[in-house]
Amino acid sequence: MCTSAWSTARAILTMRILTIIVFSVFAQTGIASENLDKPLIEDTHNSSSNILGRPLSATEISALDTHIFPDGKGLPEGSGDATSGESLYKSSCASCHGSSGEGGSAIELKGDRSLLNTEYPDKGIAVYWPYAPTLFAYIQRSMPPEKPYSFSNDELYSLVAYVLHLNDLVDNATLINKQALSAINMPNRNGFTDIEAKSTW
Amino acid sequence: MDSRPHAPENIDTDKTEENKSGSRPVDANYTAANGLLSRRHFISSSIGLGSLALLQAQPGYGSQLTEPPPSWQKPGNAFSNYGQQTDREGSPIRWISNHPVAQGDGVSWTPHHQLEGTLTPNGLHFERHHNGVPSIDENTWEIAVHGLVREARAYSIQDLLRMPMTSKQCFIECGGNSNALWRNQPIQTTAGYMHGLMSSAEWTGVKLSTLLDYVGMDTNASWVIADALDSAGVSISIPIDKALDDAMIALYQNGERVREEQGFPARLVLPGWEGITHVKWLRSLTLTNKPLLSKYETVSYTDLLATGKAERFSFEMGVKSFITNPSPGFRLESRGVYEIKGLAWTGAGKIKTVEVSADGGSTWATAALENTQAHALTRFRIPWHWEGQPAQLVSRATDENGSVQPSRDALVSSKGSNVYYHYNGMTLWGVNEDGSIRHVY
Repeated sequence: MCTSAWSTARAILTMRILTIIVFSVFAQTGIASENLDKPLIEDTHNSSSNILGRPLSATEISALDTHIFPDGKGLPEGSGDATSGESLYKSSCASCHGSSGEGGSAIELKGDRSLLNTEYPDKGIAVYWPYAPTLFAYIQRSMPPEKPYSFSNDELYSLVAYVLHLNDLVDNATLINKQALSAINMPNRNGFTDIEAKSTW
Repeated sequence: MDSRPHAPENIDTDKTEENKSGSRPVDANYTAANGLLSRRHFISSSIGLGSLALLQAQPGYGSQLTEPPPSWQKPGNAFSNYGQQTDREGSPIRWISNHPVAQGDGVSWTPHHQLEGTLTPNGLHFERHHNGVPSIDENTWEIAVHGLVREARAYSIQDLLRMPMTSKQCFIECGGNSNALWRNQPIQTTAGYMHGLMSSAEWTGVKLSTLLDYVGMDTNASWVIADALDSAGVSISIPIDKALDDAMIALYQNGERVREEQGFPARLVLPGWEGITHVKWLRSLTLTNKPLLSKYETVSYTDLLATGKAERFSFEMGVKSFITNPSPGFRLESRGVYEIKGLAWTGAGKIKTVEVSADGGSTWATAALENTQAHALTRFRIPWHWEGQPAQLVSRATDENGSVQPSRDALVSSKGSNVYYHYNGMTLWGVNEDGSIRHVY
């Protein structure tokens, strides 16, 4: 009994010394000791993980649905033609892409398909782009670089109509809208070979 | 250059052992022609070490070793809250090349010729932005996961930080890295500005499969479209197999939160895959049964072959290596032994061997390797004795699948020179008698 009582006393003393050491280390390193009262690891592996995050509302899900697919799914309402697109092109695009799409500080918008096997060929719209709706999506999200996402849908359809016209894919007066843009069969549509995944389009 | 199949069995690696007895001449230490030595020879050599100088002013040596150093005689500088690299002449920086008008469209290169080891310092990780680096407030940021899921949900940064995480060393290589080598004349620049659109870090984050598990993926889902918050509106389609395999939503880069220019607060890391798929500044993940085929998946990042057809969804980066030192921009200042060192990596996983040639690929010697874990950067090293002779230094990597890095000639012969992306051919450094080094084909 005597031995046991001594052991207990020694154990308590040891703990106190350890406590002093631990607190002095924290004091030196600036770690707030009260943080240690919180569990370091919480279980996120079981069904309680469903508490993480929050469900999206129907409005949010609808607003997130902004993708424009190769078949035109996702294209908005609106329309425009090359004539209206030309004036917008001159003011917003020509300084980089050239006065008629021949390229400048930015890539050319038209090109010569016969040059695809020469060094640094043009990858113009009629030469290389496989899907017309992609034009709408790209211009909408990326152009002009100093103020992207600023063109209205009618402006976007007008610009798309103009660059398609530059590439002899539509005439001057063709009204481009969701249906018309989806129906355009781009010359290089079948110019791609899928390597590590298969497109299901 | 000679692009014959490799025949390592022709190299007599036993010669070094024989030389220990002193019964063979120094020549027997060579493992391939034109001065390549066995690894052991570097340590025990009687051949002097050469000196390699970057082409810049060299400080003279003073008599500091004979006097008490001044730093012994005064207190040192203060602590710092966040350390910076040592400020000295020639401190490595990223070189930048960007569009003159749209200045956020461009690249900055990792200066591999000035770095060592197998991890890239966070401040020197390469950048490729299509319209600048967005500033995202993590306190209001959420990532949305929707589409073909049981329940569309949004996760805050606090939600992600509570999820189980994983760490992995992983290189990221821009599809356009090294694309100057598709040109028909060798460009003259340093190794980092030729091959520096590739960097490596230890990335830590939540596996994409974990997040998809939480939202309950529909069995019809075959693609995940990842959208970025940048002002180019990058969207990339990831096949579901990769998403469920080893894709990660990275929150940390070499132990600290992902840098703003690397996708803060969260980016994708897809081990072994082309850089554009590692979408930065994540906004949403949309599960679909068809790929988006955005501009970045059709017009850009597709590989135009000599036939006029282009390869699409060429995600995995090929087996590749290059010599970081000696390399253009440095000069061999004196004759003697140098360590040839460089980097190797493969999208397939692990690097198995790297061979080095000092005679433009006629004979090869096997280099020592460090850090051969899958998708990491592997460092290779081999000693080389330079006696002032002309040489052509080149490395060739082989990965665990047995894929061998092709010569430039072989690559151009098979694909043409308009590919623009995915250059993984060899790079030759021509050493001249005066010690200068040039890029040669």
